Amino acid sequence: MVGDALQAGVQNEVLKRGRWVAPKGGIVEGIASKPRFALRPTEIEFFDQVSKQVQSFRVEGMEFAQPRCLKLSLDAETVRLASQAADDGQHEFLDAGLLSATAELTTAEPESKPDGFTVGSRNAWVRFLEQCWPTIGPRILAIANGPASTIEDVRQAFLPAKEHPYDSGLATHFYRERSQQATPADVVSTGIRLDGISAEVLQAIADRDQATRSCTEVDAALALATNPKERSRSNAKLSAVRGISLSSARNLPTCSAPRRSLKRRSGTNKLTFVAPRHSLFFFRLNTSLIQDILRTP
Amino acid sequence: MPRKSWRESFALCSPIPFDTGAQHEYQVLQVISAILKDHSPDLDGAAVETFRRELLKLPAGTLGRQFFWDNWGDLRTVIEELGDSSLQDPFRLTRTFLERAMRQKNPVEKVIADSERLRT
Repeated sequence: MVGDALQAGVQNEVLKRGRWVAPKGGIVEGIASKPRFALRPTEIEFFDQVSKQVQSFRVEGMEFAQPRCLKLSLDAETVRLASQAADDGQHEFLDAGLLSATAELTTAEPESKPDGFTVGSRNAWVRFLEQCWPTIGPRILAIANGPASTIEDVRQAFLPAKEHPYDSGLATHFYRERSQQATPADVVSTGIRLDGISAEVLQAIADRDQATRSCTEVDAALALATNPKERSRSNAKLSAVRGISLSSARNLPTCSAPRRSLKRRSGTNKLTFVAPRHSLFFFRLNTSLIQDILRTP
Repeated sequence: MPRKSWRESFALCSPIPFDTGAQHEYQVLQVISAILKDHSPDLDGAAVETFRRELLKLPAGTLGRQFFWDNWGDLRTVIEELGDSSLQDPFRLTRTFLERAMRQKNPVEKVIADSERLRT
């Protein structure tokens, strides 16, 4: 039942004029041919090629009135809703370009019936916005005037309403920080960075172990030294090596932290990460110093 | 709503009657905005007097009239404190006025507010 012929017939009548011309049904012209089997549909669908949306109407009957013409009897409720929507002047929105053609069709959907919950929510929002308007109004208006506004702007605009004494929970969804689903490319790139940092951490651990071994060797040499002059020089060297080794070891956790963070974040597909490369650089600098000191005669 | 755009939602909800009157905060903003808009050329240096005159002219039954009259002292203080910079921004003036007028007042402040109340 979905086709250009139906659109050409019913949609012209229903949408472009913004009201139902026929009170209980419509004539659809341009039907290619009568189906060979009997059809008793209870619902017809129209496909809006502009919005790519399908809109449904309940029907009570359908017959081929004449060649290439289809007569539809609309369901009573559908007719009532559609008429009411038209009388409410929604065609003005359509004329003003505020609503898409498809939008008006939705008034005929059974699900668009006003109910207590919807009206209650609407009223609560009106009350909430009016009460908070002196506080949040300027930002909301700025968003309305700024086509480049983002959802983050909306969040920031609603944040002051969090302290609202009566209904602050109403805008809870606006208080949350925005989360963004990472693309597969983001996950791969994060994984590559994680691998790079893991390699640097391994290198730093190896450097630390090397420094520890050097300390042990100096300790052993110190134990064997008998000349007081040599002993004093070895002591000074050992103190320097230990001090540098300890500071390097202290730097290691700051080097491992981003790796853990990145691992965790890559699991949740979050992309914020700053690699503390200065820490790694500092660590490497220290290990180089240790090696230089050890090489000094 | 999951299956409706805001335009559709607006189109569906806007015809539903809304019987509740405007909220108090919004009424105050509307009155202040109207005064600032209508008298922007006269406000330089005479904002307090302009506001006083316009508030006294509010007809009985106007939204928020009694609140303005009862808290005229607070509004006057806010206008004087904010100076001319506030006169371009009704939101800021309203916000500051509401904060001041709706706070808990001690007995002395109540007496002062009562003495400063606008009267015909």
